[in-house]
Amino acid sequence: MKWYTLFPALTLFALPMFPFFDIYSSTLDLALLFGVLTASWDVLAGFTNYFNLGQAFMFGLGAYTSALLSVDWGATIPETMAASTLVSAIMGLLIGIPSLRIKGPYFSIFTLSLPLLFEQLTFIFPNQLGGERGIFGVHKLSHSLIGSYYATLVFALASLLVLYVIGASGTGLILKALGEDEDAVRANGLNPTTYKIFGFVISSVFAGLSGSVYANVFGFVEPMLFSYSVSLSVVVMGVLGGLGTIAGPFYAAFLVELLPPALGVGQTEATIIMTIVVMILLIRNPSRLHRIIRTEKVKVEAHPTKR
Amino acid sequence: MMLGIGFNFMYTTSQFLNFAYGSIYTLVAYLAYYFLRISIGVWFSYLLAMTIGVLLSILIYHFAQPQRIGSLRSAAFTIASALLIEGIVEEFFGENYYSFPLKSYLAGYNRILYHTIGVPVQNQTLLAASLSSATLLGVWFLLYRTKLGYGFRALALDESQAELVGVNAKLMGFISAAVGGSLVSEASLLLSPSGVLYPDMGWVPLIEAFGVVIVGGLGSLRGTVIAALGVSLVYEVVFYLVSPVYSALVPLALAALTIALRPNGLYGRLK
Repeated sequence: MKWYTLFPALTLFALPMFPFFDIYSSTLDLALLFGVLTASWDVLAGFTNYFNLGQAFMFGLGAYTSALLSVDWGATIPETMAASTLVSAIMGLLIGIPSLRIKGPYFSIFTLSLPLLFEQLTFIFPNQLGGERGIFGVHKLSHSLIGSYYATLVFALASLLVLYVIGASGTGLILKALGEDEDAVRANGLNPTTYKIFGFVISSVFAGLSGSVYANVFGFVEPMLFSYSVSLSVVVMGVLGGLGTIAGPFYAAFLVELLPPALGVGQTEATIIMTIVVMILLIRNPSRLHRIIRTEKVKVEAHPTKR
Repeated sequence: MMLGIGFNFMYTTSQFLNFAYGSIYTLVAYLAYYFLRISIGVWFSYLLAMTIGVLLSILIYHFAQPQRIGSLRSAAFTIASALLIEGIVEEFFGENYYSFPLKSYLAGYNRILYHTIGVPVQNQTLLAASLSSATLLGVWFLLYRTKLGYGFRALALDESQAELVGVNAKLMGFISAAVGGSLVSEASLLLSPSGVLYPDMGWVPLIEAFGVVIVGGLGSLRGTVIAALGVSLVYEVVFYLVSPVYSALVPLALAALTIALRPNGLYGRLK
């Protein structure tokens, strides 16, 4: 995690100068939001090694909160964003407290089922939650393409910076220590569960916020936001970008979202290409190119890695 | 339920979380459908689809052995392979819905049962119920009455100790991958003919299986069986007495309740 890895993101300000911008601006917005989503996933997964397989849940939750408030109650955009933050933070606490107390894979398995739960809820209450069609007519942030792009970009960069600062702070260090050895953290008089829950809540809040921005930029939400492909793509893109680097997952998600138009292939083909690359990386582990996942404890002791 | 057992079997014996089981489930169903359509015989096509499912499970295990590349990386690998299999299915079959061409002797309702107890039961359901109970007995026999099962149980208790007394952990891992894969393929062949096929059909049974596994406890086969029966009972009760739309939430709600009240599940023991 190096501070200068954040700089390439600034070049994104120049993108609207290119002629293809008008065609792909919505793809770019989506790619930015996915970048934030993946970076927020990385705060918990990359540092503490607790894989959240339901990151789409918080994204969708934020999006639906904003959409409902905006359509039904006519709330303004700052209000909806604040509400989304609050809702996802509370939800993060509610889910994190029971499931992060225990070690092991329970957390991953449990979070994987959450998006399904919410997807079902949207079908159970079609009148309130829009059912299969979703909710339309959300108050838009900006009606021009460039306006929405810059708004999304500013949000993305700001969250990236905040996530980076959290990662570089003392709390971030404790989170990383949790990933290495939970017992060692406990031996130092710190409560691992508190820090895990803190990491999860931070991760949820930024996922919820990006969902809220999604609703406000695109003007609609749909149950597809909760699909497994979103949650699991986040995991794959995070691994691709380099766990625990914050900026890496952001770039990986951004670039992968741009793959289909860039290569002229469909979403399915892009998924196939991306997963094959990730699988090869996972097996081969070109550790100098990208330290993909923190290697096992024994190896860490053998060659101490710089961070 | 069998998916849950297959998943838990793998986890118990080799600490391996395979998220690709849902996709193997999908792939086997699609393959069986495809082989049936090019009409190479029912049993042969089922067998072929199942073999491919088992081979795939072994292949994924080969690359993602948690002992070799670390448990997190192996989980990430299985997630990537799940997305890959799903992508390939979507690429070849498209996003359309398919329904299984059922053989006439499986399609209808069972007459004998209808006349004796007056409940219409589909032949396919009957076959699924009887075969899955038989499989369950088989798994139980394998685990508790054979030398192989002795090795599995030893590995589940303590890996290094088991190796010390001559259990080949590597080979056992591959065998358990094969058993897990065949359980998933069998579940797919028994369940999918009564529904429709679509590319991400595998996730719902996988998540229901996860719910069952959480309730029963990771690493406990007995717990999984009991939880599967209990969860499906509650599911059916909610389905008929309350409303079909709520029943899909039952496994998840029970899993959430279990995590809150008894984090290790009914019979779970986690190291």
